[in-house]
Amino acid sequence: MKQLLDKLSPIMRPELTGNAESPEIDNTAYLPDARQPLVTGENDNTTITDKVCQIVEQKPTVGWWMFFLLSLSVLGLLGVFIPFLIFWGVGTWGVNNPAGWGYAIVNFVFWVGIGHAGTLISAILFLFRQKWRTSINRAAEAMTIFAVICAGMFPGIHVGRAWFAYWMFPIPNQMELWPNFRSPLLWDVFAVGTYFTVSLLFWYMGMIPDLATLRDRAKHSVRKVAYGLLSLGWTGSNRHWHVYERAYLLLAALATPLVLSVHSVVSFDFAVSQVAGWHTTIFPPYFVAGAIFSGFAMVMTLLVPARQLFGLKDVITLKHLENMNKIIMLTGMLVGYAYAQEFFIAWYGGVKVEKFAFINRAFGQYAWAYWIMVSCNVLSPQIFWFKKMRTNITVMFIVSIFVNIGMWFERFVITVTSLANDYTPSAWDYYSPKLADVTILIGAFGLFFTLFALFCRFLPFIAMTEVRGVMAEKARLKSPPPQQGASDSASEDSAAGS
Amino acid sequence: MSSIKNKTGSKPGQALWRSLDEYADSPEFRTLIEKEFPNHAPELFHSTSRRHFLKVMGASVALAGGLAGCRWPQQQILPHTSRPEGRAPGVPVSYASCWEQQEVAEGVLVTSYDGRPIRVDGNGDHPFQSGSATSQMQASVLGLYDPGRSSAPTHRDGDHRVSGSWEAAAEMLAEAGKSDKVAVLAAPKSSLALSMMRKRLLRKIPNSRWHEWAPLHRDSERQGTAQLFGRPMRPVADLSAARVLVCLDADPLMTHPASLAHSSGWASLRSSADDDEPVLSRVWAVESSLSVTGGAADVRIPARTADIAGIAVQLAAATGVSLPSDIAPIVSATQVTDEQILQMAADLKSHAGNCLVMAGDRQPPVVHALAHAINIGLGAVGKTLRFAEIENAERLAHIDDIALLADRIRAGEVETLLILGANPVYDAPAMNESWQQLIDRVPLSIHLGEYEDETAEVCDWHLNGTHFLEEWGDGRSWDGTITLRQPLIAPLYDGRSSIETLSILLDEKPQSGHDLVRSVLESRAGSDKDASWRSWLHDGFIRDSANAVDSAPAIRGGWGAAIESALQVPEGDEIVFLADHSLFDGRYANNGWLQELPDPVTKIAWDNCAQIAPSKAASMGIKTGDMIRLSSGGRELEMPAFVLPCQNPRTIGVSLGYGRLLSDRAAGRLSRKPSLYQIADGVGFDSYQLRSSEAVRAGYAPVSVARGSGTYQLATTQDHNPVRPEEFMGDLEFNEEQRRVGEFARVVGAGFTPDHQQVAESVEDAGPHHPDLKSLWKEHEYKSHRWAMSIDLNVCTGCSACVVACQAENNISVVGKDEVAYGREMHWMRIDRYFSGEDVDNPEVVHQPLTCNQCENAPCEQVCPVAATVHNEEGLNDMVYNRCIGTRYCSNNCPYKVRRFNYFNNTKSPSVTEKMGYNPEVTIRSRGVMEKCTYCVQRINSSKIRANNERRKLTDGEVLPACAQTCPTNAITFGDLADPESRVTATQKSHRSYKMLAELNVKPRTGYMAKLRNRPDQDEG
Amino acid sequence: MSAKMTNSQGVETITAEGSSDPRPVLMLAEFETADLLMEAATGVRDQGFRLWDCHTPYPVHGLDQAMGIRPTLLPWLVFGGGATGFTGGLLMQAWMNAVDYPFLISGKPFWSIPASIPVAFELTILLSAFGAFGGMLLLNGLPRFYRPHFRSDRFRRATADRFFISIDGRDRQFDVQANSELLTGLGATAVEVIEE
Repeated sequence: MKQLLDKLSPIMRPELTGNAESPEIDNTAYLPDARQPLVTGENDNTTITDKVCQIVEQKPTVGWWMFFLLSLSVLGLLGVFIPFLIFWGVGTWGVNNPAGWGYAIVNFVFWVGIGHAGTLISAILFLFRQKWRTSINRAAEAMTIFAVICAGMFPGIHVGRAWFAYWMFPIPNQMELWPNFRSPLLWDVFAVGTYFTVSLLFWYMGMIPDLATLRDRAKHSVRKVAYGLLSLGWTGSNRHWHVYERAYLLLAALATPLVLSVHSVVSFDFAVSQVAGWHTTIFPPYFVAGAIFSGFAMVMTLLVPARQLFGLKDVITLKHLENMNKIIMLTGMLVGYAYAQEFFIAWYGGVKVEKFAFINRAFGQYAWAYWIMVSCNVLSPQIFWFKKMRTNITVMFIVSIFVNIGMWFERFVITVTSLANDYTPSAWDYYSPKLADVTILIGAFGLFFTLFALFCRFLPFIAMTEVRGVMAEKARLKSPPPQQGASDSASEDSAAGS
Repeated sequence: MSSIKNKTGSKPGQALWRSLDEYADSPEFRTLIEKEFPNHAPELFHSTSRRHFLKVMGASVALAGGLAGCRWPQQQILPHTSRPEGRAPGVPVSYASCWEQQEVAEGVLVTSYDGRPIRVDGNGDHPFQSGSATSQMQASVLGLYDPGRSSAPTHRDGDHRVSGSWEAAAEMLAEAGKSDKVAVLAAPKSSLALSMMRKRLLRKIPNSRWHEWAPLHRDSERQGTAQLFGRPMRPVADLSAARVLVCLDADPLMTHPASLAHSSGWASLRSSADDDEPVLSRVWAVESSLSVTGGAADVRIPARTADIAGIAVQLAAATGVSLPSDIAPIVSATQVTDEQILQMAADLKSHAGNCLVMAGDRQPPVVHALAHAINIGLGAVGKTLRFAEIENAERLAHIDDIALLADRIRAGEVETLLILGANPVYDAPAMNESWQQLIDRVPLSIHLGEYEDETAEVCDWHLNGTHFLEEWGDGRSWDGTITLRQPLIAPLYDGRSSIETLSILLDEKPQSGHDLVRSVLESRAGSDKDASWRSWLHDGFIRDSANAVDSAPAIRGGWGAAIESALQVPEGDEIVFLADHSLFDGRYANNGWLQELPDPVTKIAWDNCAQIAPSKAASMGIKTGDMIRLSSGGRELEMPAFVLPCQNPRTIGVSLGYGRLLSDRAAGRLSRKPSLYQIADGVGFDSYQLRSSEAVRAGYAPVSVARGSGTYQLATTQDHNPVRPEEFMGDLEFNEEQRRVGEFARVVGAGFTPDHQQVAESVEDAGPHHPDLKSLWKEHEYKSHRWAMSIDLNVCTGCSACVVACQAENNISVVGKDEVAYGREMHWMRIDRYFSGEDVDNPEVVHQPLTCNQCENAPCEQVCPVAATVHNEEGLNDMVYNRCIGTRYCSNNCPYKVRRFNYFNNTKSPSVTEKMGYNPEVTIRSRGVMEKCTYCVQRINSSKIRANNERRKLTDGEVLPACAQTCPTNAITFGDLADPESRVTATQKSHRSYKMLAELNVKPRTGYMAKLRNRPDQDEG
Repeated sequence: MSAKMTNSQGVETITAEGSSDPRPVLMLAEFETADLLMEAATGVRDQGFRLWDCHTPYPVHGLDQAMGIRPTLLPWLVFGGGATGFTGGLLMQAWMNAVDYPFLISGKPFWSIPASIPVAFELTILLSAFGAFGGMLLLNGLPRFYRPHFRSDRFRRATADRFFISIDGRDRQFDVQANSELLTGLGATAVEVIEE
């Protein structure tokens, strides 16, 4: 993995100045009376700004083009199969009578889940003053936006008459007929819609100062204009910072319950129905945990190559990665607990159908999917108990891939197994995907990576402003690491007095 | 075989519709339509809306005085309703007519919209039958509009077939009429007019001879009665008096020609179980393959068809029939124990007079003789059975008759062969040489039929015949009552009926069908011939025209002579050929509704299969869908196996009528694919290939079963296989489905009924225990009607007539095999077939019709984001098609899974004739829309409107959904719960009544009544 | 384009091209570090300037006090948005499903609070978020694409690694001479005057 990335680096990485060729520095060791620096290497505002801006300012590298065009061609699958789907009807999918929902909904829930880490990292870690977030939140938020875009696509195309999907919005038709607000699907429309909007605002607002930086560094007139418009004429005025920071804090405070609510509402799609295996009160927390879990895994999948290839090792340090691994392990165990809890309640509740639903889930016709899910989600993260492992680039990358797979299967298991064998056995059938299911599943990844490639190319990959803020103390009071760590923790209030 | 696989492996769901589209665009069809609708042909080819189509139709009525477009029949016919004169457009009118199968006519009422017949129901006024109809009767209306029917006479021209005209055909026929050495091969009909024509033919042409052939017939019954009485007689059973019924391989409730009468009679002794003095009949079925009757039986005893003769002998002996002394008991050869037979005999004797023994048409004549000997001995005659005289008693058995024809052809005694409706090339066993070769020997061969079938291909001439809704005719019902047939629509393709064709052959001035029929019935008319003719047409039958009954037929001495030989049966496995529950003998092969109708027993659509017992399959390591090779008497056939509980382990059951394959020979010769093969081609397997003359005579054939090559996909609408393979290989037991049967279709022993107040609840394992169902909110109160349905499992035989009735009434589309296999069938109604019991080779069977339960707390409604399914004020769960966007969430949340989704556009550009068949009262659903049972809301509303206009309240039973109307056993009751007097209120109060999945508190409006199984061991209890 | 000239104290003056009677609109002072800026800000504040500001590449903690900025009323805007979202959400659902076009759904009452909570909640968040973002723009007078600051090349580093104090030409105490002395005194590495 590392070797591979090192080989790739020359073609991927822009010509870097200064000490960009930074080595891997282990800042994860525990210091009894101090904190490890969050930004390693000899960095100050200037070098950080250079490093981050170079990614955008250099000419696109061969590697970037390769990555971009590859994603674009995968995205092409959507261009082919969605029209195909609309033309022939959802019969081109594998859905059938007992299993009315298939890949489309599975993918929807999967992507919404991915979309959670971004806002979570930004908002919740921000509220908890977790400074290590600053290096990763920008990329994570971007990932959120793109994941939600992928997710939002599916409810639209999975309905039988996609051209009437807009009826789900509260728009009166000629009969003044309104949507039915008792339906969880309608709650979804509002939840996901809100989540997308708020995440977008949060992301954009965080970017305004960095866009201003790009504007001020821009040489080319087009870039001048583009970044000039995007940065809204930001001058870094402290009177602006004052309002800006309050607004950012409030947005974070709003986004946090939002993150939790969105996947709860998504889980209502299942929990509110009465299908055995869906009708479970544990779903909201269970889904939220799963969402954070998969979200962090996806961030990991994206950042491990990115930090290497864009030379950001000392901004996105091992410490950051390790922290994320800890969270992955924690949420992974939460998810595992939920799996176990479901079975316990099914047994304890004594409802025959539900009992069968879960036994069938683990040992029935879809047992293979169930065990893939368990081994990927519950077992594979356990390796992070070992520090060696959770600080090993290769291992963490592989585990993150496993988790992504496992979480997709979790949604598959929940959606399909419950439907295929529910109350009336005479209606049971086997659901199996068709070509259109698979191609659209892959195509969604194409969309995701295309957008991400564009983001790396044109927008600040790291929240420079916040990193500067974190380095501020180091820059200000020139003191050895220990005190630096101490002042770091106390900085919020101490800074005022100084 | 592989070719079949390839065909069925084609694109999902397209099989049916694509071919029809192709056909609709083919030049033949355009010319046809221009002939059909001269005024407006052009418009019809633009994708016209149904509305526009009707407009066009209306216009052509106005312009062409009904000759074009709607094509009112030209003779004066009389509607069944009270208003004979003047027709109000858009008002359905129903006419009495008759439908025939197996030489037995059933009176029907045909509902016609603006001259287009759209529904066939039973004629309730008919003295011998009820107002119900079988699935085949229901589906016959689709046959009328089938674009696959042959549309013009064709004849051989050198190496090809060319379309001819009826003018040319008439000349040819008249010419043929002059020659002697004419032979006619006719499908047997009970029509008086036809037998009159037969007599005239035989009189006019000296060396002519009349042969009859039908692959499924009741010869052994004729011969059996002949053995017993010296002359063949027809046993007319009255099951409403039969407290004990023993069926020896007989299926009186489904494949028997009098099944409708039998069903209502049988039901009358089952549903009365709610009275204070319960009268519950007991049915014993001894059979080799599971039949509908066997499924409904209280005790079912599997046995080889071959061994049933021995059982009959034992039974006769045990019931005191005097037999030739030297008959050794051979029961040991069967799995049937002496106790069982003695029990049966005791049961029969204890109900002497109110009992009946019936023998099936697969059984040799002697079994019929024995059965009737028992009946006479127990004094059943006059109570449960009467023997009616039958005409042309002297006629040969079909198989002998057709063998004779073969000999005469070889002997060169046939110069002209006229085939009326028969299809020997497909369904007759070869006589040394195939029927193709035999027919080729005949200088002039003429075929008259609705389809260009296998026989038509090889005949010099094919003449397109008429559908029964297009022709004048008559027939005799099972008891002999003369039933009239009047055309509902002028022949769509200008066909001629058999009698008209014969008239062309015989007469200088050919007579119309109307005149022929009227002339043959003239003698029976009273003083005012017109008046009686009118009243006959109005009623659809002639009163008191039933055949004479011999109240005390004398038993001929020495009738038992044949017994000895009948007992000499080969050991080993046997194969029996079953009448298909949908296609019968294959005549309905092109009928999409019947092809898609799941078999009542196997639940397979679009195929036939080799039914094999679980234990047998396990011993051979065969699973459902594996190909097996059947070889019998040098003939071989590979078919997919279907593991069917209840099948006798040493019997392979195979149904007939499938595997229509266009012969390459014909393909080379024909300008286009013959119409028959539009739908039927390549569906299933041609089991006639295995059926030798001996098999036809004996009713079974020895067979050896071997593993075939590969597997084959069978489209089952229910469990993919009732016994799961994994369990299968280990200890044989039923899967989850059968273990939970008790919750859904509840069965109790008859012993419960008198004392037990809550039978349904008493069922062990009757659903999970749950606290009292309370709502969190104040429930909605329904102020007006509260429509509800209750279904009595005790009389449901699973015959599936309701499914087709529903399909016909509600314009439900046919989706084809691959979509059905994918679980996307569109039937609003499905009949769940459950097995229960420990012995997988002989479990008990329960059928449970399941359709939308119209839950008051409907789970489907709250999850729909666009409120496309909501409740109306009468408590109906309405589906708003044009609001539906197709999230399919409602279907997911429906615990009964009775909602159906249009995954593709199933009604894309239907052919013009199909459009004529649609019910204008019901919307055609587009792609991407959910649909489901509505309790036939269109009927509810039209009844309400009628009642309003007449300023009265709706009466109970006035509103009748299609399923309830057609049910042969009246298992379905529909009505208004708001009316305390209504039947449905009573039935839902019954102690047998329960709601399926009630613990979910969805409050279904449909209730079920538990099945009562009258096992003998409960007699004491 | 603009003409540049540096006076005796090294105060650089940037004048707009072709402006008759150029008058100063802005004075910019550059500082190396946040600490210097902080002290300078305190000094400027104590001088009683009104129309002045600091420009930093990241929010410097304590600078608000140093400049004496009053707390913003943004939270009230956010609260307003949230309140509107919640009540509006509830009313919308009640009116649509229970008043304007009542549905009889699953035998449930036409209108019930629990089923309406999710949508109401999401709308609360949505409108609050609009309040926060829109409020920020409103109170900061953004977007505003032209500012005299942009005419200074030095100032470009205000968003990267330099710290500035700007004094508006309309401030009562604005005076090129005095102010530049003051700022250099407070440790400014460079002082610029932007003229119209």
